[in-house]
Amino acid sequence: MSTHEFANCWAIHSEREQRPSLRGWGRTEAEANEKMKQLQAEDPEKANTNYWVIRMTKGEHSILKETGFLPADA
Amino acid sequence: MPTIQNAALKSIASDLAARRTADPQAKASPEVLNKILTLVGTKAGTSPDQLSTSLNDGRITPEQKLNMVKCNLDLGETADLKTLISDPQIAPMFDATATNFLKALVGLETLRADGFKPAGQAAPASTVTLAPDAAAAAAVRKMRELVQNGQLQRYYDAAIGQGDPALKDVALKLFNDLPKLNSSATADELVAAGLWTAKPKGIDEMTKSARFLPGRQVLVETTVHSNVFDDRNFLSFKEGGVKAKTYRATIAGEKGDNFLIKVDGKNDPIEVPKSKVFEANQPHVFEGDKVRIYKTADYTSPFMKAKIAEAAIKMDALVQKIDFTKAEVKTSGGGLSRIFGGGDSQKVSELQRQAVKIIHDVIDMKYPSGNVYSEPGRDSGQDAGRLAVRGIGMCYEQASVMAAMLNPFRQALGVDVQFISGGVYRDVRSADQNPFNGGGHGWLQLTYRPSMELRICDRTWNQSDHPADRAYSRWGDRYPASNYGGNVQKVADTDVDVSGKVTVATFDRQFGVQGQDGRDNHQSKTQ
Repeated sequence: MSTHEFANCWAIHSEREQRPSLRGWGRTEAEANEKMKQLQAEDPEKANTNYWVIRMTKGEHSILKETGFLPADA
Repeated sequence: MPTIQNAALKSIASDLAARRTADPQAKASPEVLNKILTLVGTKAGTSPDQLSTSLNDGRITPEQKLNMVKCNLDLGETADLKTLISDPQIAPMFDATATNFLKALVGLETLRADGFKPAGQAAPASTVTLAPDAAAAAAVRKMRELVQNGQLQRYYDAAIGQGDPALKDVALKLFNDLPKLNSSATADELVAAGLWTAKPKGIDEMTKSARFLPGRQVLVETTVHSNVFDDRNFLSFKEGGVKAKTYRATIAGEKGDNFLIKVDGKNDPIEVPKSKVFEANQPHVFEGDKVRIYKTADYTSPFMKAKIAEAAIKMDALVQKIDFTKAEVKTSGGGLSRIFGGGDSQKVSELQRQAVKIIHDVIDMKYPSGNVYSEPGRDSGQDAGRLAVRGIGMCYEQASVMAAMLNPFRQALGVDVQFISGGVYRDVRSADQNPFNGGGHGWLQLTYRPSMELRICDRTWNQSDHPADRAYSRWGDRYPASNYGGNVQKVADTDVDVSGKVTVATFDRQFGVQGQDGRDNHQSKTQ
């Protein structure tokens, strides 16, 4: 059975026309949800866009720090 | 004496005929057959000694040996061999096995299962376990069977503990026995492994073709129009504009240590240091059996071997149609210059891209959303091969697994791979906002040789093969900010040819279309 290793970080994703992407992050699920609501509010296409928050794996967390999307102290 | 054109073959035939005349019972020794096969089975750049060793290796199957020789056989040699084996004086000198092998080589017979005995080596009396290469060959045959009868998924399920428990060890052994192919893999190795029937024609010439030549589209950094809402001018040259990487550029020539680059929006070419052009456009190299391409590409992993074998087998029929000699378009009037790309050569790159799509399609990965982490057997770890069987990953992770899978095929298919980390344009709200700071998205940038067409492969956006023009436009919604990982491949002497003797076709600029080419979320301008 697969096991997943999660980080203490939550990612905000959105998807439109089957093209998902990473939009932001939060140190807690609540913080990520708040930021997600802000992004949705600013999005003129929100009616056609699916937003969600999901916990990051340790692997995702690591690469997003490498690429600079997450700050070093995330 | 038969009429044979090849001088060396003619000499062998003469010698055989003379011996048969002297002794009507004379036979051709296995060494003679080996000599004939080595003669016709090697070309410039391949080693006769290596082929001879392989032909004498009892662990390599007759089918593999046939493929090794056949892939280098030209029309003249085929005709000469037919003449040789139909000559009434020489033909009886070969035993049934050798005759069958020669006839199978030129398409007159099917190779027998008990065929070709190596020169000077007796077959082993008995074997309890197969020698490693023989086990690999048997595993490849089994994989072919599973691909054909649609049962491969059962083996994957079992191997990851999700299917028939009784099949698990069998599946893992099968996958472990498969040949290992890493970034150094060549078309010859894929053929020798039995994964391909034949290598693409003209591949040796293709591997020596120039990468940096007039007409090639490249990414360069220069000052550009940065108003993303002016999509026709976006990323064209602008004096004093924002410095950014543009795809709207082609090589025009060279001047000392600089390339001359023609950029949309400027009549005269700009000078860009060659080192910068190489950094942004040379393929990335991920060497070794275990290499980190963010995820770990372990080419000894049973899952990685299985997925690579599956992809290779599925693309076999396509690969046989690839003829790199057709990639060249002769200029009208029979001038000295040659052009790669355009016309019939588009068929070559279409075949290459279809092969890459096969690699893309054998990977089963889902984007992190919903209850995906609860799906049985879905992995989110570090083994790229395991993820390809059934995995979870966002853009960077899926690009990583795709790069790992492409690695063994890059030389054999003529595909240069770059792993790109970049931004997106969808969050830009006003014309004066810098559009190049958005993040983060990852994808692969692919350049197909010898036409040097620039395309992208973006798994999570369902674009396995997309022209870079459209992918990097405003509506394509991708900015190729930087390379991710890997070493930039060292530039070889043959990589650069700006003499003008060889060029690549340039195409009219394509612009992305809203709703088709990327993510076109909320690109509206605030008032």
